Amino acid sequence: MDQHLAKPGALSLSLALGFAIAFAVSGARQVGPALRAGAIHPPSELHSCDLYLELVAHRPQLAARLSAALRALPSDKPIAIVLRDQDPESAFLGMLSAYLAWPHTIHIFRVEEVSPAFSPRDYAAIIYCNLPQENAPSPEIVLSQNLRVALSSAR
Amino acid sequence: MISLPLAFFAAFALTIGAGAGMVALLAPVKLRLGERWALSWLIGSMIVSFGEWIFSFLCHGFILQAALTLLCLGLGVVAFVRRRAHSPIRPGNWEYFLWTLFLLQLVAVFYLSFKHTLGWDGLLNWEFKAHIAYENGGSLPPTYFADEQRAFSHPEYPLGIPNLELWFYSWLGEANQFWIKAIFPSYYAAGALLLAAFIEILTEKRLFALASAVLFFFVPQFLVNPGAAITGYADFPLAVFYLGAIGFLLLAERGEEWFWLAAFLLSFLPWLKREGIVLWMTGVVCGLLFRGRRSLGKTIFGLSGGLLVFLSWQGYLLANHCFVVSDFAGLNPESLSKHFNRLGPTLQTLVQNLFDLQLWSLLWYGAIAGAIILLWHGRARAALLLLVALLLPLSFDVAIFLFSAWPDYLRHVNLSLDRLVMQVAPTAFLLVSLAAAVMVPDLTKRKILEAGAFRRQNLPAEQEPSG
Repeated sequence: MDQHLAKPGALSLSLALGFAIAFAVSGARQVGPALRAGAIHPPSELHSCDLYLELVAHRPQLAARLSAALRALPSDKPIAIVLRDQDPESAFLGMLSAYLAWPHTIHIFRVEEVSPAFSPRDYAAIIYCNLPQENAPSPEIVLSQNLRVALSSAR
Repeated sequence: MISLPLAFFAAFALTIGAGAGMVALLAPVKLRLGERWALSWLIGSMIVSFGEWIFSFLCHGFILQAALTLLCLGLGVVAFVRRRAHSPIRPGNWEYFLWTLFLLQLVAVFYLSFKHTLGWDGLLNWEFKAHIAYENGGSLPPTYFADEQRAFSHPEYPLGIPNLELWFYSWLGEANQFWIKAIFPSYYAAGALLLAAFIEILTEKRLFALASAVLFFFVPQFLVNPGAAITGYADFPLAVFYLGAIGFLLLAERGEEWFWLAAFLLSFLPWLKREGIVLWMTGVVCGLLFRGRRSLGKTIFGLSGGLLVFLSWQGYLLANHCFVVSDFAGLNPESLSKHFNRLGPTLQTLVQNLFDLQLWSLLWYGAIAGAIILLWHGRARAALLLLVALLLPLSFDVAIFLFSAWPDYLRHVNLSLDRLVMQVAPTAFLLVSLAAAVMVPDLTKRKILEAGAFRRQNLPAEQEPSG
């Protein structure tokens, strides 16, 4: 080391270097595992929606199919989304359904214990998010264990 | 039909071109390559985002995309005409090593971004708007703003990030949630490069500046936690704009061009996120307090852009009868006195957050030490400016929860605080790096040789150092 780095300069350098190493080691303990975990999933238009639905509904590539199905519904009637606010899984599915239901008008029904009071005929479809099966007023398409869609009787 | 990566690259190149043109107009100084790229991305991204909004009043669909493309090309031509040669820099071995590390880190950030989904808010608050606007020919339909059922997506949030995503979607030809994630690591790169540039300009320690950019990677909250740079939230881009604005305000005493760059970056803070208005106000306070010899009128004129952007957006929301669900109750003296007892627990939560190694590593420990070191070494202006830039927004972040409308306000605090702190964290990193750079001697070979030559010229022969 050059002589002009001696004394206070060397002490400052040691302190800064020590801090930098501690900083990097402490940060790497969080960043490292994140880099190692998981892998890149195949690209798709609804990539994030697909992965979220796969996480909760355990069905791969569901978002595109659900979106296409909802888009095929007549636009003169809204889509009802029934969910339980206190149930994170239900609320999660409800918000994703609201995303995928665009450009339809939606009505979100937040239920806790009793069934919502609405007429199924007023809606193009009713999406049940993690709700028990007995709530269904009409025939349903079961997309997954916790996601069901009841189409209007007119369809 | 061109492939998606090529289309993405075209949109990216046009964005950079637009930014480079504006940088050439705003700052006719020789910028280093790193800061030129960083500024071109930051400014370009807001030109296309704000341009999408302004042009959408006049045209839609393909015409809108063509008009914006022409604007980008025009500014790109300006950048080409006004380009300046860089003074040659010969990096040493350590610099090559640090550049290689930095580039590897960038690859890792892109990898992390592609591996993860957009975060929940990144999807529902930001990307959702871009998706709707893309399907609606380039603007959000008025029905969306008044739609009570979709208020969960916060229609009142400004369109900085959604409109940037929209610009890329219009080039991709589809709303693609995979490819859009590539824009967020670019903000990380811009932040790290700007940080390095500020340290190098302020201390002339290039090696140290590069080391700071490399250490930027080790703040966990920047990369792996909810709201991180890779999750599609607006907080990290907002933080990088704020870092740029404060950094250029630090440099403003050295030349007027730096002030105009700061003013430009400050203007877009309210366009990126609602909290941007708080950061803008802080920037205004810093700009006024540390204006040096610049006239008051000129300073106010330069700093007023953010207010104009904020008022324009509020007027637009009013005209569209926007339905707003507020997380905060009335900001009045009664609420203040009723909830004043929240101050202690909120402050305690903030302190716990700042010193949580899993979120920030040693960043905030370093920030406290850094402020003391800067004051000790006679860098009072830099220390005070950075302290105001950090403490004002953090104080606001604590005070605002006195008005939280959530029944469990501490849950509200815990859910929001990481992201609020992140908005100023890169600026805290600048404080730490600057203090460390001021404290340690320069290690570049050039400086050591210069120091040696100086000593040989000025010392008597018997005192000349050996070896």
